[in-house]
Order: sequence, then C-alpha cells, then structure tokens
Amino acid sequence: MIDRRSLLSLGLGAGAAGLTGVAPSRAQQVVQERPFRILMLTFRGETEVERGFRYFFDASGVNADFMMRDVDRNAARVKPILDEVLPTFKPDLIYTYGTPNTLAVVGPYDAPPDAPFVRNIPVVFALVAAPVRSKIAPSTASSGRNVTGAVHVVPTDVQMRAMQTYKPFSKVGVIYSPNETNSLVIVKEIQSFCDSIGATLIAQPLNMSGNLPTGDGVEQFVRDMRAKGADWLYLPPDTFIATIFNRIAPVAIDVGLPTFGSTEFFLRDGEGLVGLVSRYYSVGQLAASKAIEILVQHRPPQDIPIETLKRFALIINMKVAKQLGIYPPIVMLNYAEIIA
Amino acid sequence: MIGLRAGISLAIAVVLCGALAAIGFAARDAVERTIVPAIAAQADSVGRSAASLVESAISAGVPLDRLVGVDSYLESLRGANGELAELKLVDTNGRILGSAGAPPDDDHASQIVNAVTARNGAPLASLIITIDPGVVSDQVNALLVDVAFIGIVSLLVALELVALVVGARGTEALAALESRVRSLSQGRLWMHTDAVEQLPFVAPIDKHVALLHARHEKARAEAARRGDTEAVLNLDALSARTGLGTLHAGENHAATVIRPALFLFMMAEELARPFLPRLAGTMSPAHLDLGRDLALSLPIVVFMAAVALSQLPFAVLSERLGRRRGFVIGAGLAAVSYVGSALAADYWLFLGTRATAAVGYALVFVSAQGHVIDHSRPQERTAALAVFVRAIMVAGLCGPPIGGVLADRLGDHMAFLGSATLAVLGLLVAALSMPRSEPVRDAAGVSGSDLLAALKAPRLAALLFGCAFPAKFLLVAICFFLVPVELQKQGYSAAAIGRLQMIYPILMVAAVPLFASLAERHDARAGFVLTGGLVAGGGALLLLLGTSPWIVAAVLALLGLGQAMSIAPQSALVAEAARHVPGGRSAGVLGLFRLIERTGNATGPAAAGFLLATAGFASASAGIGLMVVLGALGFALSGRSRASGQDRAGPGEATSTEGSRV
Repeated sequence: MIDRRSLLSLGLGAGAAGLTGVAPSRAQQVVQERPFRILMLTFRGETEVERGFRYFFDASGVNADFMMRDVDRNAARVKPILDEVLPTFKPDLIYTYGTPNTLAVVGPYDAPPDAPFVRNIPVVFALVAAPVRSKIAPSTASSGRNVTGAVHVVPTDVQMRAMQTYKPFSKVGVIYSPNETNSLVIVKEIQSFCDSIGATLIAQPLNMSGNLPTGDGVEQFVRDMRAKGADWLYLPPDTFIATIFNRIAPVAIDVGLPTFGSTEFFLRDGEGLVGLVSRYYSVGQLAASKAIEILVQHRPPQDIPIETLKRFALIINMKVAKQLGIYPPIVMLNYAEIIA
Repeated sequence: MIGLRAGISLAIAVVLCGALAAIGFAARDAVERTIVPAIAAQADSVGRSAASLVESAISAGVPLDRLVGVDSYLESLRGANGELAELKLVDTNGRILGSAGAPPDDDHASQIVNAVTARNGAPLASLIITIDPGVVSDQVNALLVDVAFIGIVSLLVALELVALVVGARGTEALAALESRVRSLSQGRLWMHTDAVEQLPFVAPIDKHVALLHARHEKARAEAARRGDTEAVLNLDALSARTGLGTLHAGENHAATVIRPALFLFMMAEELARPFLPRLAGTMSPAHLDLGRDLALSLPIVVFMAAVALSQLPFAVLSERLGRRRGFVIGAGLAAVSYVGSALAADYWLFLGTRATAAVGYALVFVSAQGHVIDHSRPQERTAALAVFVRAIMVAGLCGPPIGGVLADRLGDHMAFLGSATLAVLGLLVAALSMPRSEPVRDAAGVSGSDLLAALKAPRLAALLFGCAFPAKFLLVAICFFLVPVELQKQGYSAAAIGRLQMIYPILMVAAVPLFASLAERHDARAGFVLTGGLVAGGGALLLLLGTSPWIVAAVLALLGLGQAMSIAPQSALVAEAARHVPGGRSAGVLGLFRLIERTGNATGPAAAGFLLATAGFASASAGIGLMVVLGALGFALSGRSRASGQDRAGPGEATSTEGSRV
C-alpha cells in the first residue's frame, strides 16, 4: 500500500496541474519573418491537449498559424489529408494526436526507406502512450529521426499501486483493442505487475471486424468480468475504448465494478471512478515546448528527448464512488482532485 | 595525601562537574518548560489537520460511517509523531470510527480534542489525541545523557590542557616539588636528580639536602678513618633509614613534555572518525567500478596503508631530522592535508589529501615516540610510554564526539578545518615545548633481514598473525568503518555515532592498566591475550542477533574489554620474544610487530568494505569476529607444545606500539 509520502514521491499531489520545467517563457524575443505553419492532426476532434498546445505558443510569444484536421477516429484518413494539405499549406511542423495518427504520419522507425511516410517535416506527437514499443522511436532519449513528442501515460506500476491504495485487489480485469499496440504493451505490463504481487489478470480483447475493433458485446464482457471475481476494471489508454466508454461505465456501475482510468478522458467525459493521469492540457504544453525548441531554437527533433510529465493527477469521481458505495481511503483526499 | 598535580586535576574535575551539573539541571528545567508546550502544540496541529481531512472527506460526500482507511491514517500519524500515545476518531454517540495506539497507563496524560464539524458547523465527531507522558521524560533524559557525554569529554580535554596551560616546565617544576615534599614527609632524604635545571621552588630544598648529604658523607669518611666501626654502622643505618647518600631518579618527564602537543595532534585525526565514511559516500563518483561500500572504505584504507608504509622509513627519517623537526614537519603536512580534505570536491583528490595526512601523521607519531624513547632510561620507558599512550587514547575518546558535533553543525567538509586547526595548535605547542632537535646523521633503520630473523623468535609468528594482526583488523574494520556506515544507514547523526565510538577508548583507558597488572601478577600473559581475542572476536558475533544500537554498543564494549585484556600482555610477549632473538636484533621484532599491526589497520577497512558489499553488515562483522576468534585459538594451540612460564621480561620498548590507534 502506498502512503502519501510515496505517492508524493511518485509525482502526485502538489495541487494544481503539475507541469514542471516547461513553463512558457517570453524572455527571449522571438524574431519571425512570418508565423510558423503548424498542421494539427487530431483523432477525435479538438481536446484539451490541443488547447494546451496552442496556449503555450501564445504564452511564449511565438506566432503560428494552426491548421486543424481531424481523422474522426480513423487513422486511414491521415494519408489523404497529408496528400491534400502538404503541397498547399506547406507546414513547418506537424502535430499528431495519439499513436495511430503518429504512426500514419511517420511510420515505424524500421520502415523501409522508400515507404511513403513524412520525413522532411519535423513531427511532434502528443498522447502516445508507448512510443518505444509502438516503434515510433527506438528509445525515448532520441528517436534518431525527425520526430519527438510528449508521452501522457503514467507508468503502469505506479497506476497499479494507486489502484491498490484505493482498494486492494487480487483480480483485475482489462478490456482493450487488440489492434492498438500501446494497449497490448500495457496489458503485458499489468500482467507482470500482477505476477509480482500474486494477483490475477483477466484480459479481454474486443471483437474485431476486419482490421478494426468493434464494441459488440462489450457490456457482456463487463458483466462476465464481475462474475469472474474481478475487483477492478482497468481502462488502458486505448483510443477505441475511449469511444465506447459510455457503454462500459453504466454497466460497471450497475454490477458494482470500480473502474480505474489511465487518461483524464475516462473521468471527465465518462463515469470512471478514479484515475492517475497526466492532464491533457499539460501534455499539450509539454508537446508545444518541444515544437518551439524545434522551430525557434532550431534543435533537430532527434536531439530532443521524448518525455512524460513529472507530476500526475489523481482524480476521483465522487458521484461514481457514491453510486458504487466504494469510497477512497481518507489519506487520498489529501492530494486527490475530486469531481463532485 | 594526594599529590599536587592530582589535587589540581581533582579541583578542575570538581569545578567542571559542578558547572555541568548546574547546566544539566538548568537544561532539564528549560526542557520541561519549553518541550511540554511544544509537544502539546504539535499534537494540536496534527489533530487539526486530521480533523480537517475527515471534514473534507465528508464534504466530498463520504458518509461519516463509511470512512475508509481511518485506522491506517491515524497509525501513520502516530508513526510520524512519537509523542502521540493514542489517536481516535469518535462520533457524537461515542462510537469509535477509527483509532491507533493505546492509551498510556498514566492517568495524568494530557488529551487534545479537535472537533470534526459539518459545513454548517454542526458537530459530527471528535478527534482525540492522548500525549505519551514518557516521551517528555525520554527527551529530558536524552538531553542529560548529552550533557554527561559533554562532561566526560570536556573533563578529559581540560585535564590534558592543564599540562598545556601550566606549561611543560611548570608541570615539571610541580612534579619535582611534589616528589621532594612527598619524600621529605616520609622521612626520606634522597637526593633528587630529576631536575633538568635549577628550578626556583626546589633549589633551596635540594641545597639543604645536598648539604646534609655532604655532612653525612664527611662524617662517615671521618668515622671510617678513625676506625670507629660503631659510628660507621650507625651512619649506615641512618642512611638506610632516611635515604641519605642515595640518589633518586624520580619520574621521567619526556612524555609529559610531548603529551599536550601529541594530544592536540591526535585529536585532529580522531575528529574525522564518525563522519569519514559518510563523507566518502557523498563524494564517491557514481560510476566507480569498485562498488559503493568499497568506495566508502577507501579513504580509511588509503590513510592506514600510507601510515603502515611510512612507519619503518620514518623511524630513521625522524632520527635524522631530529624529533622536534620531525614532529613539526609532520604536523604541518597533516594540517595542510586537512585543509585540502576540507576543500576537495573530487573524490580522488580527497583520497590524495588523506594519503598526505597519513604521511604527516606517521611522522608525528614516530617522532613523538622517538622523543620519549630518546629521553628515558630503559627502566622508565614503560611508565613514560604509558603517559604517551594515555594521551592518544584520550584523544581517541574526545575526538569522535566533538568531530560528530562539528560535522552535524558545520558539515563534513568544514569539520576537517577543525582538524587542521588542531593540527596547527599541536605543531605550535610542539615547537615551543619540545627540546631542540639533535639530528642523528648515522641513524640506522630496521632491515628486511632483521624482520626475517624476528620471525624465527619463539611463538612470535603465532602471536603476530594470530593476535596482533586480527586485533587491529577488527578494531579498524568494525569501530572505524562498519559501525559508522551501518548506523548512518539506520539514520543516526554523526554526533550519536561519535558517542558510540567512545565506548572503545573509554574501556581501553580504564581497563588497560588493570588487566596489565593482573596479567603480570598471575603470570598469565598468554592467557590474557587468548581470552582478550575470544572476547573481542566473540563480541562481533553478537551482530548476528541484530544490529540495534544497543547490540552495536555491546559489541564495541566487548571489543574494548577484549583488547584491553590482550594489548599490554601482547606487547610484553613481543618484548619477551625480542629478547630471544639471537644477535641482538631485537629491533627487527619491534619493526615486524609495528608492520603487522599496521597492515591489519590498512587491510581491515578494505576487507570490511568488500564484505559489506557482498555479505551485509551483520555477516561481515561476524565474519571478521570469527577470524579473530580463530586467530586467538591458533595462538593458543601454538603454545601447547612449548613450556609455559618462560622468564618474565619487562615490557620494555615493545609497549611503544600499542598506543597507536592506527
């Protein structure tokens, strides 16, 4: 069980959205002949991430024209957008949201040299959970190519320990999209955490229709999980799960299964119980700080490490807690953000 | 009747103890006046923050009777605040919603109550904290222990400083006067020959006694000339009764002269004992291939090794330079090195300054020892060296606690400046008090063949390798290295570590003379060496039971007791062995003895660092203890084949090495 001090040492608490080391600075006068052109490829419409990103540019006094394009949850739409926008808009930098979009733009680092990916325009990603395992970069220290970005996921074991602090478990369930690399990676990490504490993992992949997951039967998956004795349902940073969470949460509450979300989305836009997350707004700011390093300070992206935030936020959805009758230990209230 | 000097020392002790007792009482009073309210305020602030956390849980929507984790939260508060005996959350109906600890037996224990209220101010529950009354008295007692330690240390320092303040000549004058008055009061009319020069106090006494002697001699000569046998017999009887016509050598003051300077200098090095491993830990580069524990021990190893290597060549060097010059140069080099250690930011540079400090230390030690030996007759040497040894032991007693306090207050690096200051003071005192150097050009050292010849002395090898080497190895490995490293890991301050390190020298100072005389009286030197080895080595095995400070203290006490048993008899046995070396090469035995002891010093921390890294504190210490036990048993077995009770020898020069703590 984690006490407050160790949670603090994990970067929790300290109240406000902790974003250390990336405070925007106007100290240096930015000399620009023209505004920078930035293409922003979002996955499910504009989120707090993009708002944080643009705010950081504004606060840093860097002028930029942002062109927003959304793939509407289908990364296959990236290619046509690029074909259309690149010749006309001529962006100085491309921002990508999520693993599917990022991979669609830059491809895996071991792709053949003639594969049709963007190479000559710097790319900054946000909301990629596992850039190394999903082959966007061979290491977080350097992508070795024209890519860098901000990781939003809190280390899996830290999340698991926060989950245990809220309510100890011996069985944990997870539902995930088998086509999303970062979900597979996280399922593996949960498995090894469970092995280390002698707990059981019930991993439930979504049904697939061709190459895409479907939400068919997801309600029954949740009920089965409860029937099998799961103490928690963990929600990975899975782009597709987020889209069907409004079908998962009510069933989970109904059968008395608490949910632990890996991203802010599950708590703010859905009825997840608790989550240890990087704030989207802060993740956007972190990504913007890297974009400015590339554009203003002319640092090559491969020299800029891929980073995660240093502080995380524990968010508790008290409405859901009341419905479930599962309340947090009072120490957690010392540092948690409560959604009433 | 007590002597003049003893009287002065006693007076100082009485004044100092009185002052300390007054300070202790005043401190106790002050503590009770300030700590009690401070503890209450602390308990109140803990209670308020706990109550407000409960309030925020309730306002977040957690029902009062569904609060989760209250017990463990209260328990964590109790863990962080030792003065709280019990914490409980009680609702308005008196139902306990959560609790930690138990109420103390004391009915007068004070309680702090904080209300938990709803947003509208309606009372919901109370958070009740009971303060542990024992904590207050514990804190007061801890303070009194501190005062007592300060008392012992300042008393010892004061007594050492008496010699310094009165001055070597003053001390000599007092001693000369005291010995004359004492012999006169006993009806002894000896001629005293100890006065180096005519001293104002004693000259009139000496003059009158000399006159008496001259008259007695004249009368006897006259009687003899006349053939008056009766008168001659009477005069001889008078002479036998009163000591007329006898020359009395008195005490030797070679050691008294050097003692203040040596004490100051030795204390300089002792200051670093409690914090040296910690400092090495903070300075060792992260990527060092040696491993962390070995890196911690390296500064001690380097120091000890440099002392060991310098010992033999410096015996000659100090004679060639002259003792005073040797002392001054050595102390100067050490002082510069301490400043270097204080300023060094780089680990390797730091090691370098430790090595040069060791070279200075060795030169000072050898010069001081040489001074005592040069200026004393063989029959006085044991007593003179005992004074010398005492100065070093007392420095070993006072240095660590003072160094610990300095390090805790000023930081480890700055504490080295304290060492530098003491070394400079030692240098100045030595320059002023030691007689002018008389360099010896043709001083001869101890050669390798002397050492080899020494090995053939009866039973010597078993004594040196079975007892002398493991004894030093054990002392340096456990007392100087493993204990500070372990206690620091357990979170103890350098001052607390320094106090624990005092246990060894306290027992040594107190028990060495006792065991030395017991061993001589019962003619059981080998037995004492064996028992001492078993006690000291067996003590280290206690660490297998646990590593609490009490066990560590017991280990250090047994180490001190065991080594106090063995050290003097061991030196006497070495001296005895030296007399059996053919060809008058006894110097080889002593050289070998020093070399082996110092090799033990140098290898001790290195081996301990390695063992600590591989086996952990308890196993490393116990392993070293076991080695000492086996060494002692090996020595015992080596003696079974030989007749015991060989002729007794005066400890002679051999005792000269035992004083060295390094």
